[in-house]
Amino acid sequence: MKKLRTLVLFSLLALTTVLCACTDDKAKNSDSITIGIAQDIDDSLDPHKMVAAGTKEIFFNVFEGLVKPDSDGNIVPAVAQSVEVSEDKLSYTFKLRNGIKFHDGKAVTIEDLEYSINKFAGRDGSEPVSSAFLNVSEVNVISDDTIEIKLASPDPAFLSYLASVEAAIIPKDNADPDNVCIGTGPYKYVSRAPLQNVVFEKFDEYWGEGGSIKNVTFKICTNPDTIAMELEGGTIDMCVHLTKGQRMQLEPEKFTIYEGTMNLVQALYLNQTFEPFQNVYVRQAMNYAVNPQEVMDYVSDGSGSAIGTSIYPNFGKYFDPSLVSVYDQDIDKAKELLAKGGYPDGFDMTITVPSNYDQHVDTALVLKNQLALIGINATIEKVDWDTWLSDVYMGRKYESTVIGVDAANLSANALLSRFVTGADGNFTNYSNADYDVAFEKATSATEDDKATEYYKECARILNSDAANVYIQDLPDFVALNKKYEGYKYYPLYVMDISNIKVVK
Amino acid sequence: MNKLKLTNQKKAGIIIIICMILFVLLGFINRNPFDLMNKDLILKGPSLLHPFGCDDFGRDILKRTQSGLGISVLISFFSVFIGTVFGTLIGALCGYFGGIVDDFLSSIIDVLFSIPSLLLALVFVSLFGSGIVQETLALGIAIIPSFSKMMRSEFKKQKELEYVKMAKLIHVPTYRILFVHILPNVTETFVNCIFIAFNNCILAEAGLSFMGIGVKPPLATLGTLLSEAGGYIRSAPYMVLFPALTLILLLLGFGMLSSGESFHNAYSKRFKN
Repeated sequence: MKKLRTLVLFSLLALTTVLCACTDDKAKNSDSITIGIAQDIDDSLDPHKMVAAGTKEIFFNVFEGLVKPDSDGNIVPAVAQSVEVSEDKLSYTFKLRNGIKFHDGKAVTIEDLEYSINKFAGRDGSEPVSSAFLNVSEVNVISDDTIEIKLASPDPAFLSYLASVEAAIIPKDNADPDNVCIGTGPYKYVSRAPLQNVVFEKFDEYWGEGGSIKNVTFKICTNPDTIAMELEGGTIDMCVHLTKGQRMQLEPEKFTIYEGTMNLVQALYLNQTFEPFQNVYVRQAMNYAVNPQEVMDYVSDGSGSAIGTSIYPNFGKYFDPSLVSVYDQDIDKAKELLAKGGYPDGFDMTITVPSNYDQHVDTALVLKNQLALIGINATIEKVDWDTWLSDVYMGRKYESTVIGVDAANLSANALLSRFVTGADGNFTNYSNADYDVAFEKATSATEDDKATEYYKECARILNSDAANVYIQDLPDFVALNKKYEGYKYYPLYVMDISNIKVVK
Repeated sequence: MNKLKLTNQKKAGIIIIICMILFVLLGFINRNPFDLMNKDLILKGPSLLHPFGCDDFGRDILKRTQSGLGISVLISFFSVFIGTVFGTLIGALCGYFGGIVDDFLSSIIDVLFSIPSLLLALVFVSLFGSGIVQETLALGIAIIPSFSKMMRSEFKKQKELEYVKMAKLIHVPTYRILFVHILPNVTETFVNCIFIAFNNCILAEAGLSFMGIGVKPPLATLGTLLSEAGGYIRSAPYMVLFPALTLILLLLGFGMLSSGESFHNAYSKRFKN
């Protein structure tokens, strides 16, 4: 009898403990959203010094340049109300937007504009954020609300360089921009905790329509295996860049799944210092051996878009769809070319892939099988992200790698400049005299049509010279809890939260 | 009849291990390579042709489990071998000689012991790169400390016994005393240590592969199979289930073999009869 009583008491105790855990965490403020992001934001808070693509991706909501991109890829006025371009394309006159305010409540003045332009263009003695700004020859304040930027030589893509986070307008009187974050965007920065979260809040005095949700928290979820569970459990309401596996775990009735593209050029990048890759026939043979559609079938259920060169389809006028089908899979032709290149029996090569990106590792696995068809024996080397950055990207000590390359702004320059002989980001050590000439012509062209034509020429050269084995622009799946709506894709690597609304 | 008498537990252990070996060997009947991809079979559940189902690349999980189990066991076998040889050697020297030799070697072992073995293996792999050889060496080194500790205490006990003292008196060479006279008398601990180390090794290998270091893809081990399947645990649970079951069975087999009455006792009883 006594035993029974103890048992009953004990089970009651256990039950109470268990039931206590069942508090209703769903009763969250409907005016807030929690978004999962894959990496910690430990960058500088100075927009001109931000390095990681993931940082710029979310700070797109906090900082604005004189102009900004919209979701269709147009460049629209932001801090500047209007822009006038002179006849000779050398002078850009910006008119400051009336009544625009910084997040600290102070009005944006013409001095702030002058200070910011000089800072990001490297005219105050610092490094320019992009070499394209070396072209700026003069910055003149004309009146209280007008400023003029003069260029040394015409550049049709100049406005698209300005339309990025790295060319943001920040206040002159901010003594510590690395740690104090003041911009003009629809959301203002509140706080961040390392490896935990970043908090934004709606900026009520925004000049435009602004956001609709008041509090935005970015929760840092570095473990890709738990993201789907966090979405299902409701600790995060939204997550971008989901993999096929993560998406499959979500219940379709609870989430809206958006499908777009990541705006990356995913390719098997070939280091041209590795001997077999110096031969154009070998590179072409590899292109003929690889079937991008099959890669997509395995890696992302067939979604994704083939590219054929270093331009992705969202780049509209620069993208040449005919390049996609130049190297349709043809094993016999590939073998023939490989023999012509001096490797009739194939060769051994290593593919180095960053292990934190499932998509790239999976792609490498499929490529290994496809290259085996023409006798090329590929070994896959998985490395962590830091090693990849230091050894492959910076050190250029690798044979080949699968990675996605993004564009910093909406000009083709951002994607193509890295293939110029000796360029900074030329991690494949690619060098081609024709390409250098075409690129030079493109950057110095005064007319946009002409420049576009030369950029397309550059893309064609990369394709015909088989610089790399181009695969795809990866599909980008975004899961948004059905409590919210309105996610919009951009042709750039940014996440705009001002479009997201609570479903009424 | 001078038969080796074993407990039922040990018999069950042996049967499980034999089944496991047969399971791996049966894999060779299936001539398809373990990384054969098939677009039509992506994430297909178990069927007659593919009893374990297919993974996200349409690869047969049965074939991958078979080859993965083989590689896992191979890595563990050589790791345990390295750990046993060096562990016994260091333990024997420490225990038998004592004094400054003991102090010196034991302090090194203590330092190694204070570092978690998985962390030790991680450091090793990050220094010398990943691959089967590196992984085997790393795991082997991680085994040495615990092994030498066990052997040290055994040798210390044995050296005080009469038979060792006698052997010393009649000038038997030291290496003979260590490995011909003492070692057979500590087989009980020795064999159990090996089995425990083997168990730990398989688990540690799975752990290392789970963290993305170790063997290179598309090569599979039980660990990589489990980590790859992790993302599909809700939509394709069989991807986790079968490799996990295999791992559990294997560990159970070795666990049963190493527990209970030792081989040494069973072996001695055989002579008593």
